Amino acid sequence: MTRFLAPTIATPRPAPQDPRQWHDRLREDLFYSPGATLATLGMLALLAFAGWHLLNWALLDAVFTGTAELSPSDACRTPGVTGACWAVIGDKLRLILFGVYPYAEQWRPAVACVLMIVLYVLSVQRRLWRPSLALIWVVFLGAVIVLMRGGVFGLSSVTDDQWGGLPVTLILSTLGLGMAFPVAILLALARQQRKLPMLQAASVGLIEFARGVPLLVVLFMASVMMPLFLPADWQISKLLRVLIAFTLFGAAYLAEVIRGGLQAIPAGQYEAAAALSLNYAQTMRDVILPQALRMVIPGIVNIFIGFFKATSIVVVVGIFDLMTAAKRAVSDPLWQNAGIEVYLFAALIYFVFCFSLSRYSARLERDLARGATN
Amino acid sequence: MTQPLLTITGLNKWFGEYHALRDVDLSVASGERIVVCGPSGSGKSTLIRCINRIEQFEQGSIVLEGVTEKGARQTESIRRQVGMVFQHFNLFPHMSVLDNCTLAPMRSLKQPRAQAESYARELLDRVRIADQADKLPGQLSGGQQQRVAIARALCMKPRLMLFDEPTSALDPEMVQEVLDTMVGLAEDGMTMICVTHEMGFARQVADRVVFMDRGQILEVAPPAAFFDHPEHERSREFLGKLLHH
Amino acid sequence: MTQSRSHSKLRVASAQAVVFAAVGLLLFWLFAITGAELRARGIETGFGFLFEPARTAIANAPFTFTPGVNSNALALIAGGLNTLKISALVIVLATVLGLGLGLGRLSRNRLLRGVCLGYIELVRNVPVLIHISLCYAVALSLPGPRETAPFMGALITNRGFFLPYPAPDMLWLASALTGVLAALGVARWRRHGGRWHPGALVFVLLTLAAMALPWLLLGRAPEMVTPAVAGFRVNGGWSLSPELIAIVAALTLYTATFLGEIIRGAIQSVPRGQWEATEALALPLRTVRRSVIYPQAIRVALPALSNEYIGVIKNSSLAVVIGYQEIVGIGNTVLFDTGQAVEVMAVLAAFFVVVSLAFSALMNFLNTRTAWASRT
Repeated sequence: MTRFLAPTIATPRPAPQDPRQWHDRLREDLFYSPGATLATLGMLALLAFAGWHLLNWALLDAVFTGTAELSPSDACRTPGVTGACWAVIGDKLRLILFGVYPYAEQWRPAVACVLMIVLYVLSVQRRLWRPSLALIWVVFLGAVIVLMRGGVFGLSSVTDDQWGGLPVTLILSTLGLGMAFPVAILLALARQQRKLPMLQAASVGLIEFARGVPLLVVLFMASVMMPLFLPADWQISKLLRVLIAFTLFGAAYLAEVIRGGLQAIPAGQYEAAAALSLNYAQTMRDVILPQALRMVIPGIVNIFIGFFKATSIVVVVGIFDLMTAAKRAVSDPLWQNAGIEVYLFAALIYFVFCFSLSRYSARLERDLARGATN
Repeated sequence: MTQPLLTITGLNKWFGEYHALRDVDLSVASGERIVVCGPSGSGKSTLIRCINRIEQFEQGSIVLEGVTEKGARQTESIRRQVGMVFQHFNLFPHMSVLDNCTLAPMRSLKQPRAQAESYARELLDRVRIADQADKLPGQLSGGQQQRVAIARALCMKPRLMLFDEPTSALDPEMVQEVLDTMVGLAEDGMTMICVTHEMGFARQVADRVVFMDRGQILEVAPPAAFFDHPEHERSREFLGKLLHH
Repeated sequence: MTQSRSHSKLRVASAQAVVFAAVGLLLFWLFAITGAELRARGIETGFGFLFEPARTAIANAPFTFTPGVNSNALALIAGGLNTLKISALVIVLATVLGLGLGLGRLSRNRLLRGVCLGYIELVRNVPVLIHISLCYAVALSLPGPRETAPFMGALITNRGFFLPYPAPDMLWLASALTGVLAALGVARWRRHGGRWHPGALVFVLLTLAAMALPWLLLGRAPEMVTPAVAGFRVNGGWSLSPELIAIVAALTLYTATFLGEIIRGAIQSVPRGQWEATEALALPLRTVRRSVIYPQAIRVALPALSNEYIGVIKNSSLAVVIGYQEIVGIGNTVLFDTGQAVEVMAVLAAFFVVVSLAFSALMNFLNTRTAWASRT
């Protein structure tokens, strides 16, 4: 038998240029088989058809403003107008955004919205993921409430039944989640532990109840049942009742996400903490929770997105949020046929918030996954 | 000299910018048993995965004797004639052992069920797990699963068998049963290319040992010569490490 | 050692007692306050109201419901049936659409992938309530019955959809029978047959041909009941109200995006090694998908899918915003008629908890059916 020995050590060479031209790529991506060609052409035709009609409806044939002779709503109802009636947005913008908040004071909800958006931007900075982030939340949300309520610093007092539109949506979801967070941690810890079965049962009962029942039913409970549970002279505003319902509802969902994080912590971490003679509170606060919470941040963001969308349901119990404001705009006799336009506008606002958050959450998930493997 | 069964010439493969296989040439005669070894990341697995086109390659050619078609048909024809056993078995977990073995003959070779089943049972008997035919893979031990995987590959009546580190995912006590099965296969005259570090197996059955490092074949020699008197500096280094651990 | 253990046992026991006392006190407080509050408002407690006649009529009742004669309990049952009707329709339709979206996201065709991704992102980032309102606005902006022409026997109007349905005719029965027989025969052939494997298309075509056979033999098509415009109304046909269409369409379009992502994730979660094994065995792609990948993906997807389906049942309660009377809407009406807030809420909560639990049990059963021993 002969022996082969490599005469030299081969040096690595750069990969050869991909010989495929752009039309090769196009064929591989879109026209790789007769069926694919058919599907691609069919979809293109459909997209072109839909796109053309959409363009006509939304832009070319649309009415954006009134004219000198015609008021905006009359301009929309001129015979022969077949496009969208965007004039309604101009006419009702302030109502949709800020509800029935006193017109002269509407800079306050506007500033409150900006504050909350700044809060979101701060919260997604990883440098700020420390316990002090909770303080930032308290300060910002406190400022938002003061701004909206007024009654101090020379701001006129505005009761919360006059709040409306986008700030209410943001307050319900943000404040609701902020208040739900500590409750959720307690619920998750109560469910996770094995020493106090009573407490565990109570936590499981609350979580499973809130997750088993539609949010709508929880909101009904808050609006019609909660007054019965409280002494007659304790009555609290509807917005606050709904906020409490949101907090409990959100806490149940958040608790399950946090519990997932707790379960993902290896038993060795508990054993190491016990070996260092840390007690339960120390173990949780210093060892387990910081790891578990960091792990579930994408899940928390997803819950927040769901929460943000779910706030629209308060329209049913008569809270004036973005959705209710849209509905109110359409209920104006002048604009009764503009439902599609108004709802599309509201959809756009929701979309901007939810889409950017979901992009962020997806990126975060990838980053954290990569960090975990390194 | 007869026509080789498999001829690899000038094979080059890149993963992105990483040059994974560098000018690999190798030919395998019918009935020959090759053991491929080398440090991890040296391209051993990539090489044998290129043979049945589970990996694509940029330059060079791999020709299986008797396969003349081009393109996709060639790939399919090669895969029908080349069996492969994976490190992690890759059995279909939701199918019984017997169904794992009969799926490909029935669907790829269009054999009737009765024929596929009787041949599968014969092979399961040969790897000594005929009594487990109706169990799910998850109910078997690792060694048994790997033997099922060997039987599954054999059901296609391959002309060449590829083994990709078949024993490295197994608990130590199960390694021998799988190696015994492979030795039996070699004694029946099957052409085999095995990526493995089992030196006992290599000495017992291999006709040639191929040593790879950094994507290149550095030394090819009969096992006795290779293990006792490695000539390439890197081979000596590798064997030294292997023996001292 | 023993001392410290008994000490900590004592601590746990006392902590338990504190929790017990706290929960008990809370419940006692709630009942005491609520009782006083209800007495002050002159509301009776108890479930007697369920058997009193209902005061308000129900739109879209699934059976004839007469207020003043039929009880509140029957009204709630009607609502429950409507909830289940919406949920069942949405679950079936959304699964079909979601399957298309999920598979489309994994297609080799780049355009199809892009279209599916675009649809999913666009739809799922907008609240379902907006979808419901939009679908309802669209349903109401359709032309009236007199301005529309029938399309394949169906009328699509702002009063709802009116679809033709098969009249009682023995020919339908004969057709169904030959179809089933043909399908069973081909399936049997496929299982035990030799070299020839009829594909899905051949299967469907053979079945359809068999179904048409009795028509050809008798020389006539079976009868249909078709809707017809009469004045401002439409008579005959199977009618679907705009409210039902809007809620089913909106929930379907919305839920399908989530189902699609679950299905895509499940298929992608099948380990690469499984694909490689099928390649090494030269299995045809169709077999790979049907026999190897999909069965494993279904097992991964099932828990998430069942969560999503329970979500559909809960989301169906949103039909209340467009006035479709399902259980929450009717519960709300009964609540305002009787003032029995606590009891009505208890009924609603119990309904959803029971339905969710029953559905989970069903899904668990399916899960054990699709489960196999795990590799360790």
